[in-house]
Amino acid sequence: MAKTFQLEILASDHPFYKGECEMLIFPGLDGEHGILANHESMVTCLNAGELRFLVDGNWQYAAVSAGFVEIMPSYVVLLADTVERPEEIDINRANEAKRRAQEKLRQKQSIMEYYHTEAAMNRAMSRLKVTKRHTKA
Amino acid sequence: MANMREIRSRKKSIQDIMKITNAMYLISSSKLKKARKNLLAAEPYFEKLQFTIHDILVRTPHVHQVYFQRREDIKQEDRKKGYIVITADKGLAGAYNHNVIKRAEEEMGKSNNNYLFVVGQVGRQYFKRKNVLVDTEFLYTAQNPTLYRAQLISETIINLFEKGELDDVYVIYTKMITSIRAEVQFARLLPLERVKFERRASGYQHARFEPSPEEVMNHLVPNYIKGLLYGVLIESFSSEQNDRMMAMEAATQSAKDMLRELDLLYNRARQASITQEITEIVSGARSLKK
Repeated sequence: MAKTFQLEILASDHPFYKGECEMLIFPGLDGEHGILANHESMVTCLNAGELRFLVDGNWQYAAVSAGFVEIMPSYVVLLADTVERPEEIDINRANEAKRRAQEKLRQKQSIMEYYHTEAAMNRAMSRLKVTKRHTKA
Repeated sequence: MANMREIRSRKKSIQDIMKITNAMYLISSSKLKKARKNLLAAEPYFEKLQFTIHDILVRTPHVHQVYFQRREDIKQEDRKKGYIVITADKGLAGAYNHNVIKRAEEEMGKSNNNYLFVVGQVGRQYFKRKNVLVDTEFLYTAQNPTLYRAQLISETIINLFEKGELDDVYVIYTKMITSIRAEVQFARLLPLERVKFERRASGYQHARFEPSPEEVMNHLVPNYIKGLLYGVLIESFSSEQNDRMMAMEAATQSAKDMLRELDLLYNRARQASITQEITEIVSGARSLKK
């Protein structure tokens, strides 16, 4: 049995996971971070993308959007705007959102609007990526 | 004694109003159910968010970062204070709006440079009537709060803070303590305060910030404020529905009480008029007999 740490994942609209975990991999600002038990205490941010965590030898997957992570040697708290399992994601909706964002990116926008659209695009892409990879079609 | 027709029309109007208050009671109780569900879903996040931020701030090394700038060189009376006041879109919610507005006025009395950001129609109208400067482009409804709306609000506020158009930002909202008690809360959003003394006392270590403390704070603080505002909007919305429900329940109850009293009066008036008619007939018949 590998060493474990207490992992708590909270989305703004529901608590997602709480329990022991052997390894956590999340998308950071500058690429993926992998966390094992007894990690040095660290605070970092979360990008939209794919989240993986190992519980009892099984990998669990989820699509996350922006948020942040507090890592302590004995526990990890991950707070994100949304966290969804692959089977919860509505592919049609994500596709639609991606198409909408693409269309918007072609228009002239203010910088703020551009960032919003870009973030929406990232969210849609990461949702699609996670569903494609982890649901059997 | 009032005559029968008057009592009857008064009863009718009370009954009509009771229909309205009762309908409003039913509507707000079903809205409350939904709002309560949202609140329950978001509460763990909201609480953990505050707890974690506190924890992080304890471990944050000293950074020269815009969200921590206390701008102490600006004199107390010149500080530009922003207040986000969360009221309802409609009245008839008991003391809900009144309490929030009263608290806001109390806080505003302490300084001269106030900037108001009001969520909800009632508060906006109130301050407009009082000729208080309210940000007119800050138009958000208090109904069915979403994360997206919280994000728009937090972007506006952070933008103003970064540009130095606001030096302190507070939020005034209502928190449901129990289902029968709500309390107005007053909290500071910006600038953030690093907790120095507690750390020294308990020997906390600085955490590592990846990629750098400044970079992390640049992402974390807007995210935190967004989450906080979302929680605040949800709390307020459900206490609004709760207050309205209770106010309407009380209104319906007192309408019923009034009707009961009027029923009594009406019956008495009816009996009196019957007695009078009988007396008249009897005395008329007697005078004919003579």
